[in-house]
Amino acid sequence: MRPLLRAELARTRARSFVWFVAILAAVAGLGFVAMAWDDTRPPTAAQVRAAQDEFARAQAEWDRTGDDRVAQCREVEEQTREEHPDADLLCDQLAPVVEQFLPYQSQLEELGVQRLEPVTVLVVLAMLAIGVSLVSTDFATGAMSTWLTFAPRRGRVFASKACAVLVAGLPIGVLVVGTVAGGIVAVTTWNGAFGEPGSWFWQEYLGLAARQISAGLWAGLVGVGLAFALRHAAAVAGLAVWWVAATESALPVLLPVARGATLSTNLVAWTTGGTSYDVPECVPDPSTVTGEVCQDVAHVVSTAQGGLVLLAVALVVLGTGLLVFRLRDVT
Amino acid sequence: MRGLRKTYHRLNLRTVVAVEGLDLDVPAGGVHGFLGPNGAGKTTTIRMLLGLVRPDAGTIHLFGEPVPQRLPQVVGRVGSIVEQPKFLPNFSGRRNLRVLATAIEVPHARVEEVLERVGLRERAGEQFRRYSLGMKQRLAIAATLLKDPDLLIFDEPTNGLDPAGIREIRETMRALADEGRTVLVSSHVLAEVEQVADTVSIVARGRLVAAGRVVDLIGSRAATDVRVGVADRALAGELLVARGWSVRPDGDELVVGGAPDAAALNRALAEAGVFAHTLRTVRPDLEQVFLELTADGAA
Repeated sequence: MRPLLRAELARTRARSFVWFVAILAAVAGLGFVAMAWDDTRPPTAAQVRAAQDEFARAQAEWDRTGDDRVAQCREVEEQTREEHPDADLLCDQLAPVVEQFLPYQSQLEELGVQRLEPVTVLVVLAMLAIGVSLVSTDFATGAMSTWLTFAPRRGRVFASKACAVLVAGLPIGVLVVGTVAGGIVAVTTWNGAFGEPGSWFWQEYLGLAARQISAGLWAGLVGVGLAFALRHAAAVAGLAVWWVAATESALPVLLPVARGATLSTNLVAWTTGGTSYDVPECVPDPSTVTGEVCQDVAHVVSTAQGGLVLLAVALVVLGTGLLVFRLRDVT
Repeated sequence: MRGLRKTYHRLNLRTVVAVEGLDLDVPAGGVHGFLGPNGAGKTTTIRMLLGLVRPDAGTIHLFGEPVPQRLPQVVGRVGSIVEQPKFLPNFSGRRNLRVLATAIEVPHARVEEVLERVGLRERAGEQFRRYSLGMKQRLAIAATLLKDPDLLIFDEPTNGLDPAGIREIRETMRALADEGRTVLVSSHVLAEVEQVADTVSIVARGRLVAAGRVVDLIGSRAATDVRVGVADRALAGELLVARGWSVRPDGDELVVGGAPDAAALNRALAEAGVFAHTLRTVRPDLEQVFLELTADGAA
């Protein structure tokens, strides 16, 4: 098994498609870094000048009407306190400040997770493509039959491919996710928007990155299983398109409760530490004969549920791929 | 192999019987030709022997072990090329062999040895996809030799090769057999097999129609003809028919069948005052035997 894995890794390393997809995904990930840079960039000189002009006008207006506005505020505050004794309308803070007129500069703590989350799709698609290509290329070129005349134990060949996608996928996942995660931190720091992120942020941020890498490895395994089952990359692509259209898109529309079982929901739940979806629940409206009263009820999908569903899917796909590979002729 | 059978079921619900009750013995040592027209089931048989295709019925034994059950135990003694040599196109020849060597735990020094053996060492660094067909075949032979096998299986090894390439492959097969290995070569090109094979099996429509030593098959199936060139073909024909030989005209010559002795035939003509200006014995070859047998099989 180990020699087979070594050989498989050598083949994987030498495949230009693997390198191409890894680099493409990393470069595409830079788009999210660019978005983070745009969110956190400091105001330009023109924006500062415009803000100062606006501030000067507001200050002049405040100088003229400020005392009256504070007095009105206090009056309303007094009235409010008759019902809510703790009410505070912040009347001391009504005076304009220049920051009000500058574009808002997000801090790392606010946008880090938000900008990193979409990378899941990127890393999953990239690893799926790599997993499929590792197997389908061998079938397409006929190299699989040559390979099997050297290593006829099909279970071992299958296992070596699955292990190879894990071993090769780890650095690819780290490259893609690390590029984006590191890039976001770098650009926010460069823009002076690093702030003072708490430990909870780092826990969430790094946890998200780690689970995204694991989702990429999962996708690689699914790709290997699908390619062994279907043999052709085009067939896998066709199945994937059908799956997205039928199961991920149409089914939740027809049957909202099925959203909890879709791959996308469970993938989001796994990577982001849980998610939820709304299902409209209706009861007959007693005030009309045929009417209904509906309200959205939130259903929570936990991280554990997401992980278990992904694991089950991977096992089913790999099992099917192994079974087909063992039983079907290689011609 | 005994009673081997394989049926393919097509998507259009058609069923194609590729091999039907095939019995095949390959003697140890020497070159064994596995002959048959295209579609006779040769490649399917070889694929079943290598565990790539699962037979519907029948048994296969390789070095005394049942296949495919015990194939992993004996595969180290078998080197094979099935149809066209298939390697990873973007890898160099050397890299393809090194990957295979790693998989079967053969030292990389062996790669250089086999490359040298097939005369490919100088161009081993080029990508496989840039190789000519002849170079691809040589690389495939090098791959089969990585394991230092006792049995080599070549499926249509000369397909698409030029005459020099065909000769090269033929010489390689002969040399391998002379080292004491067994070479099983399937082909529908009879001339190449006749020159190199010690024994042959002939299949048609998935069944064995003849097997044995090449000389025995030729001797048993096809008669020798004599081609005679004479000025008066009509008179010569009458004389020879009167002697009990079969005669048929072919161009400017007469073809005399019925295993005639050329000297006796010449004497018979001379005694009647008819003198031959050409006299040529035409010996049967494997192709004639093959055509006879496969035509029978098809009938």
